[in-house]
Amino acid sequence: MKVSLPVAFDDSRKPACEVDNQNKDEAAIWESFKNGNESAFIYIYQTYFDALFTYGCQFTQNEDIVKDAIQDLFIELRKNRKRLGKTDSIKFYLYKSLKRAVIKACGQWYNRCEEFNSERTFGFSFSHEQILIERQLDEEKTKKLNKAIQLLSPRKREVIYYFYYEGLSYQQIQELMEMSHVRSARNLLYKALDFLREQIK
Amino acid sequence: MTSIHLIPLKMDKMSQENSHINEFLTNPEFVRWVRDPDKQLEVYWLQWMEAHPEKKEDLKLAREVILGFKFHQKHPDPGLRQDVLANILNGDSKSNDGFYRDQTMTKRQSFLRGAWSRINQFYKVAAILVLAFGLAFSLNYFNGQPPQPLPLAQVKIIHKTTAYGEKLNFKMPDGSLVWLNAGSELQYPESFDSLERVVHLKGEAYFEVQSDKDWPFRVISENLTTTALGTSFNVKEEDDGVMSISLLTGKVKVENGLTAENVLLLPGQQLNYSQESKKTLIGPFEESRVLGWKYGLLQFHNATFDKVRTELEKWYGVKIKVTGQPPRKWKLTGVYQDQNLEMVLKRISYIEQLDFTINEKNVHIKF
Repeated sequence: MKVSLPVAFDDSRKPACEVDNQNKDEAAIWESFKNGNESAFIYIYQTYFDALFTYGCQFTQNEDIVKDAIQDLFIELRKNRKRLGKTDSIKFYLYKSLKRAVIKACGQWYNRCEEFNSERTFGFSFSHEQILIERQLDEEKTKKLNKAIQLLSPRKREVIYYFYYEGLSYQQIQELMEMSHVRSARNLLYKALDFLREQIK
Repeated sequence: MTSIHLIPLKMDKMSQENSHINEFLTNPEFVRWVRDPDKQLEVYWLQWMEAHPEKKEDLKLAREVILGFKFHQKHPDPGLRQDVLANILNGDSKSNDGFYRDQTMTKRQSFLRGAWSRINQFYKVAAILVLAFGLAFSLNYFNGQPPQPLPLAQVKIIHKTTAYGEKLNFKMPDGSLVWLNAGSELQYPESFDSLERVVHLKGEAYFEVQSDKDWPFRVISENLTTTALGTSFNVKEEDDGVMSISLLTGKVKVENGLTAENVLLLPGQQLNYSQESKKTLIGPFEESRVLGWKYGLLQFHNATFDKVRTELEKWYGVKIKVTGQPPRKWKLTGVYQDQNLEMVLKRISYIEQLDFTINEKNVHIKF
């Protein structure tokens, strides 16, 4: 198997080979849905509903808002299917639309919203559930790390969620977080990591 | 019990090591390897570690950090997904639990109204944009979890089955005619749905569909759905996983639930789809070859012995035992009109060296 070592980490780097095949399948399913295939629509719905719900709940504690947003989203998609653009990542497409819908439904401005500053938006913590043969982080550092995570701004928590949990690319993060440049996404991640590192010194 | 190394966190040092950890932590390929590795990534990073032993510790630390991130998530209540889907298919923009509990509209009507209201619109435009009705498509895509449309009103399903050696010819509730070949099964409702006629086929059948352009006729076989408006066509599912649909008159649309392909067939065209290679081929066909079975024509074209044996078992409803082996390049081409098994085997034995005995439904062929 031919493998090349990266020299620099390119923001716009394509995902691994295997993901490309998956992308082709997704593009086909999306096209099929757009052309009127109802099974494709239902498949998309069933496949991504749970993830969308979990994602939507990152923005608000109000589950009804999330549920309604998802419902409205799929009604709209189904109604306007022919006019929709192409995509090879259905999940990302849906995420973009859902985030807009949920924030709008919250009726509050993203950056100012009290709710978005709560610890529970994009909340995460650090824990050593994984049995690692050799651990670098001891108990004390772990505690400090968790305290530090609580101090992260919601936007930094959001970028960490996208990057480490959803495995999105910088480009996708830029789009989702409405940043002007791809490097802004990378910078935000760096800032988040730097912040954490500072806190556990 | 794992031991915890009390190594001071390397991040303490304001040195180049910091940026190396960062390089791992900010590298999407690294993250993907840690959280969701595939073979390619495994190979890549193991090779990388071997090439950079001095960075191994940093890599491990970065890995530990990523693995340690636990994201707080809310999961939907069970049943929420289906409830919302019901609302969506109904086209209502606000949650509308009351609607589905409404007793005045039958469950069947309300389900159909939402999901199938598009059909009339399509046919007015004379476009055959057909909705491949869930079953075939979803059974292949869902990992064992089919979608839950609202239960339809209880309709009795009729099963018409042919054993090996049998053929059947019958009329369906709408007047359409079916010829069912041996070893096949057709399922259809006692009375067809008002919006469309759907049947499920295993094996091979020839259809002469009553013409009605506002009432599509659909044959679901494996993952292919063939939709006809008023036509005659043959659908065949072979043992080696090849599906073929041959159109004689009219127009049909074939949708593949697995590959998401849609094809419109014209008279004289045959569509071949291989489950194995997932390839679709369209080409002309010979009517006598495809429909011969309907007229009592048994035929072989460069058939291997296995194929001949299978076909004979199906056609005559017998069990064939074989002693010895046919010669390697055994290929049979022959056409037998309304002949019994003994005649057919006799004729084959003239060309190829074989002996046979027939004992009721048991046949013994000796090479």
